[in-house]
Amino acid sequence: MEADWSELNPRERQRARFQRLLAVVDPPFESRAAAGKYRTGVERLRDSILLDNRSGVVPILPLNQMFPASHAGISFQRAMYDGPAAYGAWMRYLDDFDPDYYLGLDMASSGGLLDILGCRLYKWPGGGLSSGASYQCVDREWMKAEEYTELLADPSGFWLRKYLPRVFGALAGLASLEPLVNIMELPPLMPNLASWGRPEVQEGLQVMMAAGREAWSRMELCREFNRRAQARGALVAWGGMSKAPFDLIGDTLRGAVGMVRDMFKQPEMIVEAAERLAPLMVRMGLDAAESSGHPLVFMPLHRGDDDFMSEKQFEKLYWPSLKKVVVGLVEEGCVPLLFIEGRYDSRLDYLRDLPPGSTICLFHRTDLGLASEKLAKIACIGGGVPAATLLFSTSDEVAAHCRAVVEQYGPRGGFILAGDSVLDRCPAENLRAMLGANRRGAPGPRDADLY
Amino acid sequence: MPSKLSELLTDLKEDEALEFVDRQLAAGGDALALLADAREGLKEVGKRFAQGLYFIPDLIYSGEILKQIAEKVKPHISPEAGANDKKLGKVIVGTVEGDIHDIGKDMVVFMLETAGFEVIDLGIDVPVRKFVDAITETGAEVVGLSGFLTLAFDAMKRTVQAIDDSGLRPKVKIMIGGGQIDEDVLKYTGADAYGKDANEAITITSQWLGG
Repeated sequence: MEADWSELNPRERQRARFQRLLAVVDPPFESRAAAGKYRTGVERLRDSILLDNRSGVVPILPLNQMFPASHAGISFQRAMYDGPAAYGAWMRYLDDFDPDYYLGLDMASSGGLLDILGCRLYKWPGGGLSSGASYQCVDREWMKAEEYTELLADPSGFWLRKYLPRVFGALAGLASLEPLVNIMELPPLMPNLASWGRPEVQEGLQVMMAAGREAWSRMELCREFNRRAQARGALVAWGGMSKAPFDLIGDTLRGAVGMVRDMFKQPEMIVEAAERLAPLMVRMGLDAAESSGHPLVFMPLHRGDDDFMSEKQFEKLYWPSLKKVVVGLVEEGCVPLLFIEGRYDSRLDYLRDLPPGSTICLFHRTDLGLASEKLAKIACIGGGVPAATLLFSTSDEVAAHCRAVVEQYGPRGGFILAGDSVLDRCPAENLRAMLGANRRGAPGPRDADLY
Repeated sequence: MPSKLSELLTDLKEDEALEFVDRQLAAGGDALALLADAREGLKEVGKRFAQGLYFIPDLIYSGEILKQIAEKVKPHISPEAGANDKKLGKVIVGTVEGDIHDIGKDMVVFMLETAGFEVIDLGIDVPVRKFVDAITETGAEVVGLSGFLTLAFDAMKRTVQAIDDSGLRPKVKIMIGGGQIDEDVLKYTGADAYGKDANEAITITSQWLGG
């Protein structure tokens, strides 16, 4: 990064990150056509975020997480356990569909990694589910209602000594570790370090090392895939991931029922914990964006929708910390890509508070017309292709539907045609129809120059 | 006129509702009547949800309160009295094969039970065959298939097909529900109806079985 990064404003930082994305020279592009495809793809995405895509061609992003596996005819279990097979399937996806943007090979994760860890947090094909199932989270109270104080006092310590041993059975021994801050000076050094020598802790550390080796190895494959894809002119959809703090607590720690109880019995603890976790979520997204060199940070939003909580609860429990994370990432030049599950019709006025030209909001059940209107000059929006359309319609129907959506929302200057939900299987011809949806249309009015 | 307990439950006053039940039971109160009052409270919760005054957490929380009330009154209900608690009909509910999401399914289960139906909850990741066997064993006339993932659509279709192949299709009505369900999915699966939330599941079941 430039030496004077601290002197750049958020807009300049965003520009710098996209310039970095455009300036890649390694690996060399396979052809001039690939170089042009890549450049156009990055610029189109950048301009859409800036609400200034006047090309008449919108970015298209199917959320086809494990589709490459099903398209290649390998089971999801094989994709998770056989890295080279997954690599081949994802490469075939690039061959057969030539997308501008794709969901990375890391979406297939590693079954081996989950086995090493003795994962209890998920069930997956080959790990409690049949070979054709998708991996899914096990909803449970992994943190007790009375443990908020401990989490707040030392999130990392809680993670190391309570959370990880609970969700990964093979790390149970780490619960015997004493706080890291106890390791200091003399004479307390030896007695306070001794817990690291406990047999169960040593076992846990061995598991961490094995898990680290597996994760590193599989990520090397993912990085190599991204290099090959880039050489062919395709751009991975995002560089990292983060979470809304409320969802981090609800999905990862307290579980749905536990979170509901907290909403009634101790909402002030949710607020305090969300506030405490917000900077950590900024850090998580920023670290990944830095490491990957890609400014987009994917943030799936689960529980803030119109059906799950009242507007009052959203305003108090969900929005403030989410906004902190989004703004924190934007200030560093990253682009939060909010994947908003459920309906957000009554939340759109809150999203109007987002920094203009700095975020992407992909919608699931929200009224896209209403979102387009409310977020004009604020956010790039996306969606418009229901899963049922991709699954059950003919390819002509998919093509007509997608063209209509593009023609309706493309002129706003910031629109991404996307699936409204994760899709692991669909007819190949329907996906092709979606990817071919762009038609030249009249460019929309130019918004204020945001650069 | 709503009873004190039903009001406490409707207003989601957990501690007060549980203390009320404790006091009533200590004073020799009618356990079945207390349970009936609590269920009336749940019905009002359902109404408020339909009106947009309550949300999913309110439904879940009210269900948690009812569970605790049921645990308290259960030891005070004689088997004979429990057997006389007439049910409106039997409903089989489960999350289909390959899907382990249970929040929506659990809400449907407790709201059906509150409404007076006998629910056979098959759990999550339910193999196709298990639905068929459950229909044969229980004689249930309604089957509810829950699924959150788009992959659940195929499992729902296979389940409906298996029920048809076993000759049981004319004897049951099948409803589906979950995060991605709509008219297109309904048509694809061959089910009879879909509910976009737990309230609609009750409405559909009541139309089919009465109640």
